[in-house]
Amino acid sequence: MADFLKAENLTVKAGSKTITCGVSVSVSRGETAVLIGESGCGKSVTAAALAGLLPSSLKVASGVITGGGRGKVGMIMQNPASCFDPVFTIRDHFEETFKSAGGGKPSESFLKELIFTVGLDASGVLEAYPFQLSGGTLQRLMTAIAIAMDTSFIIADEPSSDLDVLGQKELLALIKKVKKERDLGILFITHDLALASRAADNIFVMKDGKIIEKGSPEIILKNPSSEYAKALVKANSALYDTPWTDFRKEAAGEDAAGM
Amino acid sequence: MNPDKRIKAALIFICIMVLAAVFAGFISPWNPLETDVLNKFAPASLSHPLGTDHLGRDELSRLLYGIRMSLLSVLLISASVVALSFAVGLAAGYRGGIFDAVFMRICDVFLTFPTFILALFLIGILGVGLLNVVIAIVLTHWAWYARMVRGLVLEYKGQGWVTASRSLGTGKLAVVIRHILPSVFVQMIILITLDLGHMLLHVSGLSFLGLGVQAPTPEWGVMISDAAPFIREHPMLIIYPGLCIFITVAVFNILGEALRDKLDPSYVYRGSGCDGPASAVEPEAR
Repeated sequence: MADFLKAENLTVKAGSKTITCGVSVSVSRGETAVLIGESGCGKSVTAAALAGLLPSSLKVASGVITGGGRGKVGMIMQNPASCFDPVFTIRDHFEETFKSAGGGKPSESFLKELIFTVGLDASGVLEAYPFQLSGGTLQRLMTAIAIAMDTSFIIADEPSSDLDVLGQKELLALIKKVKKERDLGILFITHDLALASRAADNIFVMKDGKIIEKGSPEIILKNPSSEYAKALVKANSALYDTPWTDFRKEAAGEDAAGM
Repeated sequence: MNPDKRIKAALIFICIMVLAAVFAGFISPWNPLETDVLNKFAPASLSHPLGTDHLGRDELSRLLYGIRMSLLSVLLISASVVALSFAVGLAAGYRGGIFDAVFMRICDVFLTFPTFILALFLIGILGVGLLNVVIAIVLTHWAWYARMVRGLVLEYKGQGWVTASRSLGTGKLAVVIRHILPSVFVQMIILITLDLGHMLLHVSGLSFLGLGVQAPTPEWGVMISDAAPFIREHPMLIIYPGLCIFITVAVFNILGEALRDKLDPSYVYRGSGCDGPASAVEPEAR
């Protein structure tokens, strides 16, 4: 298994439109990297390219991907309710995971152990259909499926955006736990700097399809160099105790107060 | 009423119809083709429970044999429509590109004409007879279903669970068979069941016009057509086959609506509730 999940100078295009431009991100085993940026900046496209899941309308125009591709990277996706086939039971989903990985039918004890790892009781979920389970439970099960693939890396694409605060905290703790136990490399895709600061070994800041800054959380949070990262840090620290400010315009050099 | 009960009731009725059709030869009191002009328009009696028609043929026997034609034609039409629409809709929806463009333009051609007019036109070319009626109805219905299948495939192709399955490394064909086909099939079962009654009315209507099943073969539409000249004197000869068509169409519609209520997951509560099937195990408890 690869020791790195890496994209070098990745350019993705939709026809003639460039979606990401020369993006380079990497994560090694045992490390958590966070790809942060505003909505629509190309984070999820980069994640999809790494996982080999780009839709047919998008093409990799240039760049090299190492350690990625279908079946080689576990995925924890944004909206857990939509990621489980409604006509399959949870057991069917696990069996498909093992079948796709070339393995046989998983033993009952192995499945129970796997589900227990993500903090659930197998007897309550294995025969359930996805619509019978809550979002938090499904997100845990998606984590279990990602683990079951027995890959070295997991890409978590805004995994906590559909969860409440407690659910987010639990999921983060769970991902940290399985990362430590299995020496996994985790690539978090998020626009939540608070989450990034708690989880990351490395942060990649993305804007308009480009990586504009990268470094450890200490560097990005305490001494950001790009205007966007500065605005992001300022917005994060001021989120709960200042009146509304147009941080985007501040980042663009405009005086929001004068507007 | 609970969807499960409606489904059971409708299926029991359909099973009885199927059994009556299969064993019509044993349970019919008379040969449905046997004429007895001296006994024409006989009232209901022990010998002829529903009386006789204008040629003295037993009405009940003709109704029982008529089930065969009605069920057989509806079964043939629905199976052919499903096969054709799935083949075209899946190819167009999943492959996209030139397949989609060509197949959908062909569908547009068929959808341009009113269904009944197109059926009449096709029967004009193919000739009268039950098989030609079946072909005509299939050709006038498949395009609408193919468009529905294509639309559903496009919808399901972009669903998270399809992406999730692809991320596991599952092959394209396996993704279609496992994750797209079953969901599309469930929706199509509901649609086609709701349309079975409509198809039966088509067959009966064309037979009534003398374009489908030909006399003296017993078929409900033909029976209505035969009895039309005597509607004032002997209205029951029209009412009996009319009731059979009405009840069968109603049962197919009840089945379709109950299936829709049963299979639509949006009716199901998503939360775990007080004692739902799944709950997180607290770290302290482990």
